[in-house]
Formats: sequence, C-alpha cells, structure tokens
Amino acid sequence: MLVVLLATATVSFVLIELPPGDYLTSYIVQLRESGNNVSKAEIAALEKQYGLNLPLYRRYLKWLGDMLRGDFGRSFEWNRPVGELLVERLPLTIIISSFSMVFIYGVGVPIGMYSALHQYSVRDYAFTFLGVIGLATPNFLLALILMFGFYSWFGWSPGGLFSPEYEVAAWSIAKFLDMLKHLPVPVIVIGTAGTAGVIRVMRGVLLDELTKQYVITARAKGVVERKLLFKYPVRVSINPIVSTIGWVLPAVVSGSTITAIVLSLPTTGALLFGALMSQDSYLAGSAVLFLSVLTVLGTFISDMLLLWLDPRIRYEK
Amino acid sequence: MLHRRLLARALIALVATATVFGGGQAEPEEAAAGAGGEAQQAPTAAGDQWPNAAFKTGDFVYATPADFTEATGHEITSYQEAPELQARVTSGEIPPVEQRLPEEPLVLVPMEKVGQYGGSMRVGSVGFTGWTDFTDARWPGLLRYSADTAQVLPYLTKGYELSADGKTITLHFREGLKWSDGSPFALEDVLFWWEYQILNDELTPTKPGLWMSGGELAQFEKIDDTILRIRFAESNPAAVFTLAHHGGRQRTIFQPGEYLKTWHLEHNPEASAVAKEEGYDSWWEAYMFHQTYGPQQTDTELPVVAAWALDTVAPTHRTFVRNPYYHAVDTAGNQLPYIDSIIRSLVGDAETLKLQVVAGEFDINWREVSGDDYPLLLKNQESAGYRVALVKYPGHLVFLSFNQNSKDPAKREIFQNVAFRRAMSMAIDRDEINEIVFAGQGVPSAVTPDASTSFYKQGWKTAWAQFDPDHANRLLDEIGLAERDDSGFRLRPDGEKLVVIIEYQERGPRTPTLELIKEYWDAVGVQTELKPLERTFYFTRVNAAEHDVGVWHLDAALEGPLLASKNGSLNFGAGTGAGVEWINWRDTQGQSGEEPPEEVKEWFEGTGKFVVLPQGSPEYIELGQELFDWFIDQVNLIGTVTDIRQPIVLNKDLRNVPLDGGVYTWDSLYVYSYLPEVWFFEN
Repeated sequence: MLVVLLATATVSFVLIELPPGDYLTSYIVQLRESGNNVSKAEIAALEKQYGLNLPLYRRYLKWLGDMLRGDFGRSFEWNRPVGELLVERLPLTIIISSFSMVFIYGVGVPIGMYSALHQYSVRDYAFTFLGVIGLATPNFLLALILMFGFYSWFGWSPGGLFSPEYEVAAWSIAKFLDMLKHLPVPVIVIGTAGTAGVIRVMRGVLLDELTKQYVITARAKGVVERKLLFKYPVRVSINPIVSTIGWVLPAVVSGSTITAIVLSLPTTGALLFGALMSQDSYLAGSAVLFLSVLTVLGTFISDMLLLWLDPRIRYEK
Repeated sequence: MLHRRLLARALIALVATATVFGGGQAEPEEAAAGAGGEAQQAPTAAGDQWPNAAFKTGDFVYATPADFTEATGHEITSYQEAPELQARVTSGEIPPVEQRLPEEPLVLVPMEKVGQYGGSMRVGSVGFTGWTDFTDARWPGLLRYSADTAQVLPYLTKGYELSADGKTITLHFREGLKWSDGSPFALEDVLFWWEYQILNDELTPTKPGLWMSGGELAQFEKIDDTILRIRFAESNPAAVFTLAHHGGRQRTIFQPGEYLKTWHLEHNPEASAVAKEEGYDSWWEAYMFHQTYGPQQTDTELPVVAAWALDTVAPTHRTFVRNPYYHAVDTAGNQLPYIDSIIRSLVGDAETLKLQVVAGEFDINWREVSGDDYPLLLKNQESAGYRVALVKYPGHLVFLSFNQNSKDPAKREIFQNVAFRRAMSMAIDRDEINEIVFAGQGVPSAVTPDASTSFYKQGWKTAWAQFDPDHANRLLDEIGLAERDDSGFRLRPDGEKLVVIIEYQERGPRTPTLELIKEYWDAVGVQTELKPLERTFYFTRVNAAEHDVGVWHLDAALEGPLLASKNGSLNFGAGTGAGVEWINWRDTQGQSGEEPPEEVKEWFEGTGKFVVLPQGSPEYIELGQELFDWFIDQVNLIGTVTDIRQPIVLNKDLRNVPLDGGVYTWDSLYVYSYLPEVWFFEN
C-alpha cells in the first residue's frame, strides 16, 4: 500500500508541474490585470521568495521530506499552511456529504424497492423517467435552476452555506437553521445523480432476486410478505451498493467539485480546483494525494463492511 | 469549462428574460420596454451623462482641521467616536479618542450629511487574491488620488512638494499618527522599509525600478521628525503619481518596522530560530509572510493604517473591523469610518455571485455585473433593496494588436506594414459592436489617452477607426495581398493563405466583441480564427511573441496613471504584445530582444522625455501630442469601444456615495478615491 501511495504522490506532483508556467505566472498575470507592471527584476525576486527557482526534483524531494514530518508545505495563493486549509474545510465538507449520502440511500433504496415490486406500473415508469433525467442533467445546471427557484419561491438566499450575516456569527440555533435552509439545494444537486444510480441498481438486482426459487418457496410456505422481502432478497440486492460505499469516501471529502464551485460551498473539492487553476503546486499535490489515500482507505472499509454483512464472503486461504 | 460557462450564461439570460417578462405583475408593453428600452430610462442628455465624471474629491478633503477652518470658517471643537470604541475606552482597553487621533487629523466632508456609526459592508468575490469592490477602501496610501486622477490629495501625510527641477519630493508626516495596534506611525517606517527591506539583498535581490532614476537608486532622507525627502538623480515628477497609486502604500513604501523586527535578522539575531519554529526554512520567508498586506494578508496581528483592519480569516470569508486609531474625522469631529466592518465572502463562481447580487445579498458589486445585466438589475432592485448607479469606465474593455515581432517572417512583414494595420482597423464596425455588445452605451474609439488629458487632441478617437470596408480592401490590395483563393480569402505574397489567429482569455465582453471582429475581417478577405486560452498560457505565448493578435483590457488612459505607467498601457507591451521584443530590447539596453526600427526607438526616447516634463507645460503638451499623433496614426493598438457605462449595484440605504455618473477605474483605485470612510447606512 505504501508503494501505491508513493507512486501516487510522484504522479500527482509531476502532473501538476507539467503544464507550462507555474503559480508565479498566474500571480503576475493577476498583478497585471489590476494594472501593476511587473519588471523582470521583480519576477526574479518573487521566484526566490516562493522557492520556484529550484529545479523540479529538488522541489519534489523537499515536498516529500516535509510531508513525512507532517508539513504539507504552504499554499502560495492562500499564504497559509496547506494542512490548515484542508482541515478547516473538512467539517463542512463532511456535513454536506453525509446529508447527501443520507439523501442518496434514504431516497434511492426505497424507490428502487418500490419500482422492483411494482414493475412496469405507472409509478415505476415515472421514477425511471426521473432517474434518467437525474443522471443526465449536468449538476451545475441543476444547481443554478434550483438556486434560482429556491430564491424566487421561498426567498432563500442562493449560494454558500450561510447567509452573509450568519457567516461570521458564532454557532447558534439561528445559524444552524440558516444552514438548514441552505442545505437542500446542494444536497439535492449532489444527491440526484447518486440517487438515480442507486434506484437503477436496487431495482435491477431486486427484480432478479424476486424471481428466484428461494423467494417463491418462502412465499409458498406463507412467510409474511414484508418479513420475507426484508430478510432475504433486499439483503442480497443491497450488496452491490455496499461494495461501492468505499468509493464514496473520497467523493465525500472532495465534495462534488463543480457543484461546490457553482454553489460556493467551502469544500475541499472547490479548494483543489482553485489550486489546480492557479498552479498552486503544494496545495494541489497534497489535496490529490489526500484523495488517493482516502480511495485506498475507502476500498478497504467497504471490503470490511461486506465481510460483516454477507456471510457468504470469506477470506480464501 | 467553456461549455459550462456558456450554459451558465444562457441560463442566466433565460432567468433574466423570465424575470423581465414573467410574473404577470408587469403589463406586456411595460415589460418589453424594460428589456429593450433601457436607453430611454437612463439619462441620455450629453450633459448629465456623467454628472460626476469630474467629481472634485479635493473639495471634500482637508489636510488638517486648521485648513478646514480656514477654508470654511467652521471649527471642530471636540472629537467623538463609535459606541463600540467608547465601550472599549471605558473598559480601559484603548486610550480615549483624543489620544488615538494624530494631533492634526485628516478632515473629510460628507457629501450629503454627517453619518451615523454602524453596519457591515457585505462584499463577495471569486477568489481572495485581488483587491475587489469595497476592499479597495482599505488602501493605505501616503497620498490619495482624486476620483478623476486630476489631483493628488493628502492622506496619511499632510501633503507633498515637488521641487521645480522634479528631482525632489518632500512629504509632510502627521505628528501622533498611530498604527492599528497603537504604536506610532512615522517616517521611520518608510526608512525601515528602505534600509532593511529594499537595501537588504536577501529580501530584495533586485532593486525596484520604481525607485530608480538615471540608473541610480533614490535617496530617502529624514529632514526632521515629520519631513521626509526623496531625491532622484534625474527629474522624475511622475513619482508623485506612483505615490498616490500602488507605489505609495504599506509594503511598497512603508512597513510597521517595530512589528516586523521580530522576523528580521538584522534586528533579531534569533530570527532564524523564530522562523524555524513557525515552520519556515529561512528568516526571510517568515518575514515575507508577516509583512504581506492586502488581499493575500493572513496575519491578523499585522498593524495597519487603513480604516479597517483584517480580523478573521476563514475558509468562506474574511472580516475587517474598524481601526480604532484611524486618522480621519468628519466635519463634526466624529472619528471615521462610519461603517463598523467589512465582510468579504468567498463565492465559487461569478454567475452564482451575480445571482446573489440580484438577491440583494451584497452591499456593493460591479465586477460581476455588466451592461447587459442592466435590465435584470433594474427589475429586481425594489425587492432586493439595492439601487444601480452607472459609472464610466474610461478605458477599453476590449482592445487588440498585431504582434509586430511575429516569429513568422512573412506575417511579421505584413503586421509591420502600417497600411495593413490601418486597413484592419477600418474594417471594424465599431458602432455595431457598441450597439450589440455595449447596449449602445459606449463611444466607438481608437486606443487613445482619455479625452480629459491635457494634451488630448480632437480627432484621435476617430483616427483610422471609421468603418470603411472599401478603403480597407483598397489598402489591402495595394500592399500585395490582392490575390485570393477560391473561397475569396487573401493570399500572402508567398502564395500561402493569410490566416490571422486572435488569441485571448475569455472574460467579460471579449468573446462577443471578437466574434464580430472575426466577421468583419473575414469580410475583407483576411481569414480570421478565434482561439480562447487559459490566461497563464495566453501570457506565456504573448511574452514570447508567439501569437498573431493579442487581446486585453486597457487601464491607465487617464493622465496621471498614464504618466506613472510609462512602460504600461499605451505602449507596445500593453498586455497584447504589440512589440514585446522591442520592449525587451529597451529594458535590457540591447542585450536581449530585438532592435526596433528607428521610429520606434524615437518613440521610446520621446516617452522617456515626456514623463519628466512638468505636467501641463507647453513643451509637455507639444511633445505629448507629437508622440501620440504618431502612435495613433500607426494603429499600433486597435481600439473598439471606450467610455463604457458600467452598472454598479449599491445598497439603497448607503449614503454619501457620489458614484452615479462618476469615473470608476483601477487608475484611481475604485472606491478609495470616493472617500469610503464617510459612506454610511441610513437606518
């Protein structure tokens, strides 16, 4: 696993350094845009200040060495330690993502079951239609539509997790309520595609299971329909969903990047995107690495979950 | 990315139309008028189009209470402060207001009335790296520009004198002025910056050209406790404009010396150890972090002299609170500023920010709204509680130029031909661009100094800028481009097809303008392609002269900024790379770059002479006209539309804001020159 991580670190650093220019080029462009003239001499001074005059491999070694000591380097753009930037975004990212996950499974699984049990009914078609729309609509578009809708129907403020007046306030009931008002849009937007996926998988697998012999046998023996359903086929058909929960972990932490940007959510995904755009290499590198670690961890966790959930899965000796 | 933005734009347009036409509250005729008849609603008479274009900021600024009394006969008898500061005085946290103000505070006259304390200014921005909207109000300058940049006014200092030979600037500091932590602010802070930051080779390996004259560094000299003299080897009057702009602020000319000594090796032998402890490799890295002032500042302890000081840094926002030691009062002796704090929210996306502006979530915004949003903004102003002022942007939001240093010899020869550039400029229908892109609100124009400059000459704006495709075709035929291929496009003298690629970064009105220009150029037989680039990549290519045509926006068309940026806007660099290799040649004294032709050399020499002449003198005006007669006649830069009317959204309760019909530009540092300290929220 360590080798995988080291390889990821190297690849992410190199990838970020590949495009022409570096953070400084972007920074100078920004200075120019606001009317400052930057002379060659000043550029040299800036390069030294940011340590960008060192060759690539030395910057890489420095980054790697520091990381082993728990120092992720400094973000050029934010002028702050990368570790701090990532950590302070985690709580809100996790809040949004957990709500979205609850939404995805809370909505997706029951609808999937309903569709399977009432195959080819009007509602099944309706849900299928909605699901396809949900999968096909680009998230940012949905975000803009919902944002405008919520604003014009309910007067709820668009964008962000808090209204400006609560942004700086300490946590209170009012602030929490304000946050709840802001949550539906991101949760629906981030959750829609996931929900649609869950519905399809749940419906498909459950349909397969329902026609199997053990279900028919149980039914013939007069087991109560509800008990029968939850005790056997549902448990089986939830397997493929559980096995992908692990992949959700990095997604939970990165948030849905584009959605987060459109909705100005302070998640790590939006941070990573900004860092990539301005070639803020230490921040971008650390964020990518962080996500890779989570993917590896997530896969491990979902394996464990499956092991616990499905008695049929055992380690082969 | 491109598609996402286009879709987002389309959606916003849809929403705008829906808002204008929808709802059923408005009669259809009314709604139609709202969408299409915007020009009728806005003031159209030439006289009141820009009522505040020459807003005399100077009439509202007095260097000292004595000056105020002398000019008006009124006297300021006592000083008052904001209630929250009063409470802190009572608790013994800070000294009383009389002791916090300098002996002679700056006096600002509220434009409408004396205000009341309170309120937060809510601003939004995409990213934290730029000065934006109300955060420009935190500009800490030794001097301050008037809004039209015609005057340089007192601010932190009581004023300046420029010697007749232009070699010496004398600055008068205030006694008893303090940093936001209560420590004294004095000319020693300038000397600290000069001696320990600029002259320190570790912190400043190459010395700033701004403070060089005749190849020598300026000299900073303390005459007495309040008088500082800056001497140049050669005449350099434009340095005053630099002082009123980005060269006269914290970090670029003074530093809180006492505070920064902790991280400076020459003052603290332990500085390296301190830096290690804070996680830096060297003392100067730590120093550079702690001295950062402006949008990138994250050290909340850093003392400042602006009206608001950085208070919190969070992932979603930054807040700035009133500086209790701020050095200005109003006419009644109330310590400024009126507004308690600034909240700057980080928004992920410009379209989202616009939606928040329309929802009335911010108290000021102009960067994310443009002329074509005007109907949308007007429609929502009542419900969202804002008003829309129209301000004048005195530059070009879109201008372009041919790269005369092109690496392709055939293209270079064509681009260097003045007849070609004139023809391409005349092929553009600027009236149509103005109608379609700027809602008919701008003035079609070549790239020229602003009409308010003292050496402006009638006719510059229209020079080679009249739409005349026949003339353009004739010129192109005459210079050896008469041969055409089967589809009607012109061939180069070597028989290849002439294809011109416009490279640009997508932003604001650039794309729609350039799409029109492509049509015009295609129509005169010059095949044109548009190539949007990511901006870093754009500059990498432009700086290496690898492009055909570059596109940028133009600031510094007003007189002072134009002089201060002698290498800048109205030149061969100018963000579009008209002749970057020539500029290189000049800046490196011929060591790199390309030797320019004689007339370009003369232009470089001429601009060097021009900026040191006394502003407004006959020889100054004569030389200025001579220089720009040549530059404009050569069509080195191709203009589109200038004096653009730009909406700016303001909370309707804000008072003392003289922005309607005023000039609004980076040249005068946006709100900073409109005295934001006296803005206040009524109710």
